[in-house]
Amino acid sequence: MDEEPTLPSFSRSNPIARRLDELAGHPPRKRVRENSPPPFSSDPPLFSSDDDPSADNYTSKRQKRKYRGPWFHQQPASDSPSDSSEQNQQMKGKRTLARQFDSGVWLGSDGTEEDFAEGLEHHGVPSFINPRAPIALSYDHVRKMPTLQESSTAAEDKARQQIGECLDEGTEDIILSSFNLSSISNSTISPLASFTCQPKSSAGVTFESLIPDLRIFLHSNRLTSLPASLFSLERLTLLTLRDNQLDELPPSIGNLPNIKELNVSQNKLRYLPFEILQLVSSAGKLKNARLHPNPFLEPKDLHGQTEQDIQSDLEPVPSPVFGSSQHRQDIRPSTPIHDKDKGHHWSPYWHVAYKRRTQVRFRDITGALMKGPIFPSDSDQDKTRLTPSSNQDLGGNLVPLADENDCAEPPAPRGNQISRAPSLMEVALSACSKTPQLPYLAEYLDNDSPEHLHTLLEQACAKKDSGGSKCTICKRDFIIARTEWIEFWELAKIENRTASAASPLRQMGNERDLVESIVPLIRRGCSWLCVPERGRAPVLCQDQ
Amino acid sequence: MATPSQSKYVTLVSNDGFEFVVLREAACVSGVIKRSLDPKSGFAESAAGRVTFDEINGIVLEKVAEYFNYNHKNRNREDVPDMEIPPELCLELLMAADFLDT
Repeated sequence: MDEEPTLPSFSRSNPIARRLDELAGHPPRKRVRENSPPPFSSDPPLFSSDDDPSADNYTSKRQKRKYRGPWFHQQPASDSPSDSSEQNQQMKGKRTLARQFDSGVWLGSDGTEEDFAEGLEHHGVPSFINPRAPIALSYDHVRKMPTLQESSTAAEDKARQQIGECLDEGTEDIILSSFNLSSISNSTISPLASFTCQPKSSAGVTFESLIPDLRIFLHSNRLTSLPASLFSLERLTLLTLRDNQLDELPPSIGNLPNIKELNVSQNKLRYLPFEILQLVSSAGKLKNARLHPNPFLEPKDLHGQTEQDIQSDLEPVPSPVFGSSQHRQDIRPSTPIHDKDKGHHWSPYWHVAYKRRTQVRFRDITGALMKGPIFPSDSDQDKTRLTPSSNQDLGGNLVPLADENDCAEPPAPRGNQISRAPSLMEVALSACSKTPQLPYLAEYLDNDSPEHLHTLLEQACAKKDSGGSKCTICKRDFIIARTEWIEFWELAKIENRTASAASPLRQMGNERDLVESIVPLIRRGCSWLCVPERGRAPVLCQDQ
Repeated sequence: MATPSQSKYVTLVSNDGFEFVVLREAACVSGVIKRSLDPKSGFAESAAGRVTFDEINGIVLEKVAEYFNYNHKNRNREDVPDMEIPPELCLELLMAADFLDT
């Protein structure tokens, strides 16, 4: 049988043909979607000799074709108009699968796919969904999804505009203070990552650095959380978060390599993330930090010691002259706890030393408190879960300290033993966290599903927005903290001041300075085995 | 047949009839399975060594069984590798994890 595969028509919609038409004086045709048969996966034939790329062509006798007229008007004889309209009829009908001979893959043809999408529109699919996007979710749920744009407020629009202006004009000071911002999204801050300075050509200056030193002022707003993109700005040198409603700083704050000044005063911070120590390590550049006033947790020993007593326990010298590095050097050898962190190099601007820690708190797979001391910052749910006998509420911001030889004992495990492997809940939740639909997943849960699943998904969402968290022991990413404890570190600025007539050297340390130099840092672990080592001062491990 | 309560393996059955045979020790990481297989509890499951889940389908239960093995294999390791979960299963698996207390 002399059967020839049909070829796509070399019609006037071909760009070359159209161009030639235009040159010949014909008006250009509008580009319309033609009802041509689906294209073959090989290149369209342009010359008569390559009308069929397959070798089958040579098995039968070839006939030479004859053409009339210019080459760009030619159509192979088999592709007659009647033929193609017949095919179109067939195509409109039903979705068919046609095997493309040289592709080896079965695929729905182009035209039929569009029909499919059209069919969906009849079923009330909202227009913002690209009908060609892979359909993974059922459409009932998709309709309920709020769009991201709705969440941005007028205040944030104003902030966005301000950031846009700063970007355009190359202003390094991004002043978003008193904007009445209650939240700030990742998409608002992220354009700053591409900030470039504008060269100012002034006489006598040959070179100037175009590397920006970004300074972001967010004080006097109502922020309760911070976006991750704020902490991925490598060139951020100053960050002011004074007078906001923050109750926790995200661990990703440790990722700011160039920050020199940080102000987090007048917030609701109970503790700082452990990762903040990266800013005062030898690689960090932090020079000034304003951490107070904040309702920080304060240590209280089980024997009823107050903070000052502990301080004097740790440092036998009763009243150290605060701020004198010389003095620090003197007392260091006499206090054993200082020797333990000698191996780590801290920033020359800061005196950093581990003091004491609280007992470890263990949480179950859903994040509910199982064992450990109660902190004043806990939710009522956690407070009522544990029997009050072992955990008396100390009042105020005081938290009990653990013994120096305290060894963290986890509660009885679910299985036969405790392992570092994450729970199935954690595995599933981190898989949820990786999908872009994370903010909408809670809507898929059944109405009778337990409340804590909603809470967990919310938590995962908040954690993703703020840049995630890593176990401070084993560096694994986690969503539900299984262990947590607070370490009290001494974080004091070393000031090398020389006495002068204008500014006489302050001789006596302020008592409040002493108290404020002890800051609570929260450490969290991803499994019940991620607990502090017994009797040893912790070592800050850096990611890089 | 060997006495089922002594068997090293247990059978997990999904609501659409798929059966997964896993190590008893590995499956007992789930609080629910551990309780239902406890010989002292006297449940029918403990006698037969076979637990049927009416809420979990075969695809999800397969991942659950995979997790049991993953958890069992890595129980003594310091650096535990991540387990891959296809995104379309994550929510069902989350609900299964909550149900199984795992």
